[in-house]
Amino acid sequence: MTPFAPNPPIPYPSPEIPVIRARALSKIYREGATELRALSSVDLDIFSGQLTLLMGPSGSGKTTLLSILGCILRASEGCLELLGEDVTSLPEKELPRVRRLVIGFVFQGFNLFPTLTALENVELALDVRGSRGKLARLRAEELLHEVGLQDRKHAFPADLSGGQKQRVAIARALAGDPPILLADEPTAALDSTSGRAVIELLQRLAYHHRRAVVMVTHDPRVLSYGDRILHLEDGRLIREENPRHSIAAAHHFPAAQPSPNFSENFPVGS
Amino acid sequence: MFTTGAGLAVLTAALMGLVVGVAVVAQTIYAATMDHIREYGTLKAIGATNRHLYRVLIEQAVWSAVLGYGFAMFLAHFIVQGSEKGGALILVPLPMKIGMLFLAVFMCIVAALVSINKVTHIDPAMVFKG
Repeated sequence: MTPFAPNPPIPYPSPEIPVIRARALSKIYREGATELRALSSVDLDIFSGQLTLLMGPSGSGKTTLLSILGCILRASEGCLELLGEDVTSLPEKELPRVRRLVIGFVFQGFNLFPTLTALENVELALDVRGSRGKLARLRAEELLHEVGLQDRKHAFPADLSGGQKQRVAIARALAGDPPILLADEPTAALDSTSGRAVIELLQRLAYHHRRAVVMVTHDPRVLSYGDRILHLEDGRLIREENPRHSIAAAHHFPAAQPSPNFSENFPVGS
Repeated sequence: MFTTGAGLAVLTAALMGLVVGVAVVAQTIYAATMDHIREYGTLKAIGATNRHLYRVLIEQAVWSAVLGYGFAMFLAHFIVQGSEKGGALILVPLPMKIGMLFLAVFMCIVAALVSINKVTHIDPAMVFKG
């Protein structure tokens, strides 16, 4: 069975095989005679159990790369493999299925549905995956528990803080139990306490659940949480760092002391 | 029905009502869709198929039809009762009531087509833009 065969379970790859493998990825936007090269020949291997940070100045191609990795955009050139399967050759109509089965998205602006409660927002993502009714509700509750929001499940997004909204968004992203989580500046709109809770949650999802977490960020406070930092500039991958070696161990978030029990780091109201 | 011309007038009014109704419902559903365009984009980004989105829109259209029909039948009941006291009796037999329900549902689904076309062409990449 191929990884994207209609019937789950999706096999989690071994640590030696990259979950995401990109070769010579390029993206060219064309408008009339004008061409803009947003990405140029990016080679990339992302493994499960790692938190990878994508950094770079505005316009460096981070979000374009994230969109291509998430099968939201198609690369103009190059090859992208997810779980060992080439997705560049898949027809357009197959891509929603890949996104449903393999990828979870976390957005900077949360993108929650304002008229639905936290629980219903998560249930909606399960509904997209064909899971409805009592089982879906139980699973949604379980996911909210996993992000430490079981007591806020009936709250509407307007009644949640930024950090809580982002955690609901993360619970929603986990609805399909995806091996890959892609996050677009998830801490950008958050204060330091909420930002720390969110990055620690993402780190836990990478380490304890063996997910590949790729996060676009401008936020210097999260650098020390990353296993790898990939620097993009003018659409090119120019440098890779391992923050465990190159960055001082001290976290930039105030009083950051990652605990083995990460839920302890979710302050009430964050 | 066509002897006095009154029947023709009622039929013409009904047809105009149908056309105006389709336009109004289409406009309303389209406006609601545009208000929530980012949410449809989010659904697409997280893997919803166009078919799933059509289901959402058609469900909305059917609910609009059923609610509108219920309200219209409620009003019609009083108008029919009032007509019994007046000179011109208005008859709304059951087959007509059932037919009207189907017509209302059909009308609303047709009205939702504009919105369906819109969500089909949503670029899910919009979720990453500001």
